[in-house]
Amino acid sequence: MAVLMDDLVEECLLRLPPEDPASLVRAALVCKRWHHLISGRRFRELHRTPPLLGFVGTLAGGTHRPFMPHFVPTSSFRPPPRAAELGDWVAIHSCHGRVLLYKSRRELPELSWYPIPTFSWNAAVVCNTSSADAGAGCDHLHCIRVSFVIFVATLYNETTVTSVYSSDADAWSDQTSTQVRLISQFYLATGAIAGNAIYFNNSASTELIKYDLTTRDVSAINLPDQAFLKDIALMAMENSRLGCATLYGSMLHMWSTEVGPNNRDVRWEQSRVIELDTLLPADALSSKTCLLAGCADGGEVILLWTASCFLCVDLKSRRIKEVEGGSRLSNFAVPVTSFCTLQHWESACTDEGSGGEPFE
Amino acid sequence: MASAGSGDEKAAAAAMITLISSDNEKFEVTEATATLSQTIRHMIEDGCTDGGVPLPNVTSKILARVIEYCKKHATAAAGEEGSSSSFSDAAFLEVDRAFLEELEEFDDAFLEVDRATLFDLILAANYLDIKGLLNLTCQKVADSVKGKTPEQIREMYNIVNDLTPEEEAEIRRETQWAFE
Repeated sequence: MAVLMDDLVEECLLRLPPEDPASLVRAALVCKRWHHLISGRRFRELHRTPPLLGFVGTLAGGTHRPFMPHFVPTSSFRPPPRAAELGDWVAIHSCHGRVLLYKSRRELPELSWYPIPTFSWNAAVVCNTSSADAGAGCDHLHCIRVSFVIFVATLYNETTVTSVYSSDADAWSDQTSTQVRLISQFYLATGAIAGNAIYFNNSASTELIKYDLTTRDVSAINLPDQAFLKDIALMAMENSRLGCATLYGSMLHMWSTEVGPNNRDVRWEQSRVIELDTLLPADALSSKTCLLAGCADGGEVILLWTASCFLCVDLKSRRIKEVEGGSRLSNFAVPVTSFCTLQHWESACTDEGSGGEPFE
Repeated sequence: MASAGSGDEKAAAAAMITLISSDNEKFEVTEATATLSQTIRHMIEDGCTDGGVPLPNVTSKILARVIEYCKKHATAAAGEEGSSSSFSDAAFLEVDRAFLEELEEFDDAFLEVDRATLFDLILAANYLDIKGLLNLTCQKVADSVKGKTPEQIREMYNIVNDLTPEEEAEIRRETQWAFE
């Protein structure tokens, strides 16, 4: 039988769909060579945007368990069982397979010294790929194993106070404050990381809050005109662009923009207008309460909440999946995207390409 | 005879190239068929195809299959070009769809081969630089792995497991969900 050279085995393995992480994991267990090829840089470079694994919604429970995070898979990935036992926690944000939750019975998680939180705050978690450049240029090679940084912005005494937690130091940094006012709650829209900044929704406003990860400055950028005062979802798009989506009745509008360093050259371009009526089941949009619950990075998958069901819409394939038990979920969901390949031997993955002996 | 008379497409399409397999069998194919291979296209451009193109890495059995693929896909390409002017857009789209469906059926039937032949086709597609064929055959291997256990994959492709039991156990512990 013919034997395939390394690069041809790689050609075959690169064609395994990242949307089916179970197949990837099983293939990676075949032998060291396969493990290395699947965990390597080329796989990620070829597939670029990490696939949606599922999303974390919030279940409203009984008296003793007001809220519970609930992972809804959209792929073959399943979280570890202990993640399913987290009572009283609510998902806020997710970055490359890491989910930030907060303890719902307290105002903020484990932050006893934190200023008394107001109604208005949001937070995001980012891979600490390099201290100077958190979040930007993450190559997804070992997101889960690297340290992370949490950014919290909260409105306090009419100013927005920001604070940063580093898992390396296991400590919160000094706070900075800014006159740009954050008037939003995290559950109105999860933050998006695009380029080298985090963007938070600022409800009832014509602007978004931009948090520069390098300079730690907070500023405001304009929304697309048509998205003023609407429920929006924010997401990262290709090439470090920021995406924004909103619903007008049954019409889904999506925009994207590049945000320059000085914020002045923000020009939103409409990237999509989709009539959801043609895609959705006949009665899904009949109720007036159809909400955009979330949008995965890349803008290919959206989550819709209606009073009776939760729908996951793949805009590319036009496939729609009703989420089981979705009627018990709140109208806010955090999409979880990640290359779910093994990150077991980090040193093996950081060397160049597939040449040489990958494992020590 | 390399690039024939410029502008005389019919002559170019009719130009024949001789391919010679590793076991010395000769195959006469049109230039349009042969140039699906970038490797052969470059040889034609360099004018070094007189007296036939020896392909020492490809057996006659595999070369016959590769030529079958190229003929079908070269016809497809020519068909698309030829029909575009003579149909209205709607009619063209209809023809186009029928054509793509037929091509898909052909590809599916083409891939009904044993594993050894599939690997030989991948090697030939790589050597001859035929992108479509390489994509088709590699995707077939990827699809064959989906839903299989590591043990099944190893058996299928005759691969020796060189992960230590400790390494394997640790990975499995972290990814238990993939085996349920």
